[in-house]
Amino acid sequence: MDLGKGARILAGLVLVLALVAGVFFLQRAPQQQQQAAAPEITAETRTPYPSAEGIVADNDQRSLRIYEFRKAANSGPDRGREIFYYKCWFCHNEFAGKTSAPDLATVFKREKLLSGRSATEEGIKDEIRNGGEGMAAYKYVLNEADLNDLVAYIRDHCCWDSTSPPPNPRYLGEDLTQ
Amino acid sequence: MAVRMKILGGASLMALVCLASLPIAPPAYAAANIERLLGGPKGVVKSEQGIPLEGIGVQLISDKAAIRTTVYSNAEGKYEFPKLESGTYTLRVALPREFQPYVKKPVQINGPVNFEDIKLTRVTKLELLPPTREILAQMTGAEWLASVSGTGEEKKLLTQNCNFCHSYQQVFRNHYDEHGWQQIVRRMTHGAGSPLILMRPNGRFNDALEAKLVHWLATVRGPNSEDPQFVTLPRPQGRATRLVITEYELPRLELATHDVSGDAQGNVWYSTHRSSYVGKLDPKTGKVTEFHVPDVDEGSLPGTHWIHVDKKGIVWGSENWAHNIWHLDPKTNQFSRVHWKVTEPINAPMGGNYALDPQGFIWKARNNKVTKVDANTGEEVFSYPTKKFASTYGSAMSDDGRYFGGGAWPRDGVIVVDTKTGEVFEPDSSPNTGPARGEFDPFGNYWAGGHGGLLVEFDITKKQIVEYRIPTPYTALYTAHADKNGEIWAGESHSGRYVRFNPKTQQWTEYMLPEPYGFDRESWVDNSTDPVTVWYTDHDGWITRIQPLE
Repeated sequence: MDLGKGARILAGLVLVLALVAGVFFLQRAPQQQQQAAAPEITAETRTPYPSAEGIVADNDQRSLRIYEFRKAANSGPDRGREIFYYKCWFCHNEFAGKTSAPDLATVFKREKLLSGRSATEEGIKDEIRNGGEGMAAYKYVLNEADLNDLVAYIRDHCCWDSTSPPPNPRYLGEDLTQ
Repeated sequence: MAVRMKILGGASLMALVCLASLPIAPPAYAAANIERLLGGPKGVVKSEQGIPLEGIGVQLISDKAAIRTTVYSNAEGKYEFPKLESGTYTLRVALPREFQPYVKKPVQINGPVNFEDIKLTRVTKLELLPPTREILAQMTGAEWLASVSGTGEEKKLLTQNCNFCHSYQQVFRNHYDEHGWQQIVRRMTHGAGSPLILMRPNGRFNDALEAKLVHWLATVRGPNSEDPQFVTLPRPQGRATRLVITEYELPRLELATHDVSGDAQGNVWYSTHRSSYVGKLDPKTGKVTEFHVPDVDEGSLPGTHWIHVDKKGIVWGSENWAHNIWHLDPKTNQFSRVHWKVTEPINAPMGGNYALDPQGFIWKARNNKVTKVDANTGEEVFSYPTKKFASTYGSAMSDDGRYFGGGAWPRDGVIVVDTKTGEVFEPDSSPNTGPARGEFDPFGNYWAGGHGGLLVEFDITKKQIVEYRIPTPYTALYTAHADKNGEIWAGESHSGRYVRFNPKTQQWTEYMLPEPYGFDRESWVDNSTDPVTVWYTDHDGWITRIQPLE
């Protein structure tokens, strides 16, 4: 057997394989870099599906107000209270005690949150955005406007009072409380 | 005991859907009611191309009292309201869904005016609806489930375990990563009752299934999940368009309204699940009188679950978290309260619901017995031991006080007691039917709304269970009520419909509601009208009156 010829064939095969592998990895590398660099989708960056041109939302459809936490108000702390009730109250409520999540009535008076974040408006927003060991990250569902409303409520009006739920702005009857 | 299981298959369901749509001539007695429920403003709904549109909900909202009256267009596109008080209103289409919103305000009503044609423009020429913010908010839970990806098993995990506290919209409007869904599902399934205050080591289902549900939710509603194009339920046709729906606002938000019950004066009382108030609605004016239930012990969540007006006009309520039964004399506005002797910790549910018999005793099924209780002391008077089911979620007494009945949810079966003979029946129902609350019909049969999306009947003559599955998929029932004619009524929790079932003809009529929910936890059927009038309070916080024209 001609060992020299065999070695040349083997070397050729190795070269071809190396070239194929090189091309393959060169093609994949930018994709991987692209994937790694893809921005995280959050409530802030999610692109909403466009409504048909000229559509004006009908705010008398209750389900739209429910869907967007706008039963009490379109923005501000009253809207924040609604977000609080659905997103926070079931863990951070006045009856939960030590077995659940911390009471938020005095959260702005603390030096730090349990996570170590600062008990400032930005620190609390960060906590809500990113969650923690026992709490979901809300950055995928609450956008900056939602957070502003929520934190405005926590800062100035917290917290929920089960003995006195908020008034319904669409109820037009007189106050007949007994 | 022989138990006959009558389960309708898929082919039969399609036949029932078709049957529900057939035009049926109204009986003679309906003429007077049609007169009463018509004669107001009217008009026609058409497409942009001039084709009449059937099943469109046309709504008037009064500026004076915010009362919403909705009627539905027939096959010719025609709709007609009942006579309404003169004044200014908002005219709109309720749940336009595949059409662009239609709102006109103010409109002046002064007698039977003819509105100009309502012309609706489709949002898309395609069958599936795009997930715009308007459409997302109008989709029922059933439509969400039909539209998101997933196996039958994954969807069943959700419908089986998450159907009785909140709408599916409340789930699907969210996006969380898997860790986030894990925290939320854990709180929901391990927290006791509705307030979720007490966390239990064991959840509603095992850890492996819980993880499977979490993984699926993180897949279909994860950070990067796209909203689906929506498959939709059909609009109502024929008989299902012949009704008037009236909705009343309540003075407060986030009441988690639960039950309604009517008094002899025609007022409708409602309970609130997680707050101190109960209320009385005057349907003639839309005005609500609120009553503040006296404060509960410190550390207890207030809230009234079951509410019932007895024949003397006394209002009864159960405080599920604070463990009391109260009653209110509306003549004096005085509340009386009895602490309920239960072993559950405060803020965990003290039991299911209760029933008053004609003599004023309260009945319940708990701790492996059906018990007759002195309503004023909470002391047990007599009990019937059960062998299979420890408790029921619902409790009902037949009008003559002979039978007790209740759905054994979270188990699959019912308990019925014949107090005359002392017999206790505990038949099984099919897996995951979850019979919960219900009522006896005039013939002594017990009917329960099944969380699994069906009506469960205990036939008192044959001593057998009969099951009737609702045509619309992915829906659920919480309760069921029989009217004086033996027809059964129930809100469909996740399909935005209220169902009417005639056991004699097995005809289903599914009335489309003006909002995409139907979260009815306890209706009240007013048998004083012909046809009957049905009331329920949606868990999202308003009271709905349903008046069929036939």
